[in-house]
Amino acid sequence: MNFNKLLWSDVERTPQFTSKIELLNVKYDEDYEEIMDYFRAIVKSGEISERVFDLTSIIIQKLPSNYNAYFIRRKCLKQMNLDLSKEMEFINEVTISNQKVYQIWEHRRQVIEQLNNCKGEIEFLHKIFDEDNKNYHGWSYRVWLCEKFNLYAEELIDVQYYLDEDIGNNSAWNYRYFLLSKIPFDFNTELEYIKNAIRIKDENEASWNYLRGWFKTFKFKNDQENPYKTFIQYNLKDFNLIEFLNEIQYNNRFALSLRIQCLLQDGKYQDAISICEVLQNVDSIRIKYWQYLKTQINGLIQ
Amino acid sequence: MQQQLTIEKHEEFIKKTLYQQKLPCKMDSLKALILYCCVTTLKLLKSEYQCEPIVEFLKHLEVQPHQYRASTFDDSEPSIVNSYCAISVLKQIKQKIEVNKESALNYVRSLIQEDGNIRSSVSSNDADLRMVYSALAYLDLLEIDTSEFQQTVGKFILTCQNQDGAFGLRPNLESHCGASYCAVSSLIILKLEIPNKSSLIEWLVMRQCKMTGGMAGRINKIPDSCYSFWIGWNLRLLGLDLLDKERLMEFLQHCQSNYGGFSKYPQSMPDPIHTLHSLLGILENEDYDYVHAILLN
Repeated sequence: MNFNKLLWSDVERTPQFTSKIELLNVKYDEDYEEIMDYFRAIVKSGEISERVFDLTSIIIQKLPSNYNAYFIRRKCLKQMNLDLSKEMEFINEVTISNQKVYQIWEHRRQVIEQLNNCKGEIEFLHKIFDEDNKNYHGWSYRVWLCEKFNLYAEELIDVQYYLDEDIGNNSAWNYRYFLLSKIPFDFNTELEYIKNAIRIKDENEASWNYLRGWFKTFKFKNDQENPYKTFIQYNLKDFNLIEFLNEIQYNNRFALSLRIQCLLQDGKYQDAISICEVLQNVDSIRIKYWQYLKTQINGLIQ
Repeated sequence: MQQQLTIEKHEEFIKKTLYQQKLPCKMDSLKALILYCCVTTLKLLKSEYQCEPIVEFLKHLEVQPHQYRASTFDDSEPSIVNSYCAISVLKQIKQKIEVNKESALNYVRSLIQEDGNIRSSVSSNDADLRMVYSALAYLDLLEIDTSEFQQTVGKFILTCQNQDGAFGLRPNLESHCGASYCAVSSLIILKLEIPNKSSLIEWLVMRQCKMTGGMAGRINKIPDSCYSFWIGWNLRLLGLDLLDKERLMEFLQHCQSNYGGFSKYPQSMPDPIHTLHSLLGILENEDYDYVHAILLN
């Protein structure tokens, strides 16, 4: 959208404050400087009009993190009863070239909330994840969308696409956990699914982390339960995971760490310590951590 | 370790950002944050700079007592992240602040949502652990008691914990190092226990990359220099020193620019945010209390 000076001839420009302090100077081009002068003027006058709305479009395209422009834009949308599906087109366009700006995602949530219709949203997210399949803003928005419009069942089918494409995508694994925490499912089937995922690529931390998440971890003395968040967590003992771990190459650090959990829960502290020692060698960048864990376990023996 | 870094170059880079360089337009809404990064870095490097212009500059961002906006670019409303940055800068340059406790408290109260989450500004719905940490650290810096938020905000923070022990920015979001730091330091300010500590610790140390020595912010992401801070200091807040510092230095040296400053990834453009967080990540232990004082008090 182009800036049309003629529309603003009746408004006095409000320039940026000037002072002798030369600190963190930003280079504006002349056009932008003039646009901002009118913007400051309308922030003061409180004008709501078509030209103000168009001005916010220009500003947001130039500086998509300008939160103030969004507040005024939403006032225009509401008071002038503008077409919100048109607004979604604008948001899509800005988001595609600014995929990691918090403000544009927040604006999207507010407009979708008003529209109360999520048609086309999942398709839009597909586009976002085509460029970056771990975009935190995109996945956060998806969690919100799913809760708001109750999309759990269909999303469970859709998330499969992301895991098939990249089994190391931890954002997708996290989303899967979120979905399953909301709808009934058969854990034995899920467990087989995770085991297979690990067999495909046993150096993939995301699938190991997901597997562990379903089980209670050993509680040391300083470990409190979270009073406000209960996780669905099973007992390691009930699922014979050792058998599965035996399938995996012994030196795999994720398998070894899970083995420690199994041994601790069986009270086999000495064996757990031996595994910490193995890890000190095979995972030497974390030598200090495995020593620390050893000390913690030793504390249980005495 | 510090000798290997070109301290003077970093100082030069930061001073250039502060005084000379014309910043790109997109940084216009980040001025308070960039000022915070520049001043804190200069303080860490024990370098000299003039305080009066900074105080004067911040006066132009102060909309109401202790409430600061992002920039001078418009008459935007104050936000909690900018207010935290501004107050931290004033404390660091030892500017005497006449604290109006009730007004600062009312400001934070006006941002709290029903679920205990905190909004970035009054008209915004952008709310997550970044703003929660900013608000609590802001009050803490102003030496204001935060106990009235222990129940509401404390509960929100705990609902952001995941089954792996780490935290996401909001409930059900993927575990993230930045969010985990904000959660842990907020819980400490609120004098609350950190649940599932053993899982959290293991999750944090696992973020150090075997190949490069750098720190990644999430599982299966590539290392980024600023997580040296978010992870390193999270562990320090828990009283632990478990990272391989030498390997971390190796990574950070690749992020160091010949012209000073650190970039996010090796061989990219440096910026003040990654410069500060890289430097904080490689400080020697004796600086612990000093940095803690900068960050939280």
